[in-house]
Amino acid sequence: MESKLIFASDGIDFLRKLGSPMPYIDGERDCEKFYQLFTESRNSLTANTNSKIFNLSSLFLSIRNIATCYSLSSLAPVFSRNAAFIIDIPTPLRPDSYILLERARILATRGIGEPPTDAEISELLLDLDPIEEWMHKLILKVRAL
Amino acid sequence: MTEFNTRIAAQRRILEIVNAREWHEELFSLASKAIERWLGKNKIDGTSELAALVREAGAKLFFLANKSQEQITEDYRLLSIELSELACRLKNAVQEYCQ
Repeated sequence: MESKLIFASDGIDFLRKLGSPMPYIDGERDCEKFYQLFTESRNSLTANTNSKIFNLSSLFLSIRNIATCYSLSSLAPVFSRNAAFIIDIPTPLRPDSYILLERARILATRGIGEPPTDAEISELLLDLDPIEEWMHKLILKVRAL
Repeated sequence: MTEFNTRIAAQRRILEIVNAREWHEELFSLASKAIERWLGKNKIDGTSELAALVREAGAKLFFLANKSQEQITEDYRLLSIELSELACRLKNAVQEYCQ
């Protein structure tokens, strides 16, 4: 249980009455959803000159979330924002590239920070092929579970 | 395509329309904090039609994101029509906006 009742005026622990969560069964579908987000964001990033920060932010979302969904399917859940590095098949992305994607995510969600430069983005693009292979590996393993 | 992917694609489409013009800093997303940053960095009048349309697009997408799967299908159909109309109006507002 991730939640614990602190106080209830009627003394009834409704959290305990909820019972255990249902098993997670959508792992394959969810991993494919985030793989699709990855390919669309990368395609848009290479084809368009505008909205780069949004696409970088979406890449971050796809990498973090596919790792979390994979971990849930493997019954070893990791909810950390660094889940992609913690799971048993860690991402080959360089930590510097991950930090750059995270910066874009914070810009897109909270409007805070300095946008990456075009040079930083060009360097990152070179780093994405191994990520696609890594995502394939995760999906294949989830399918086999 | 799942509704999640469709929603992101719709957001990307709106951003590409807004960012087709060269701003001092582009619009990073349709989250309210990103919109307010964009208005400030580009000194865009917060009461302009352009600001209103961008905020409206953000509100529509985030409203949908908070719906349950059961509610989503009919709502999405209506919303995608509204978003297409909004995209046309935004295109004009971006072109016509004078700083």
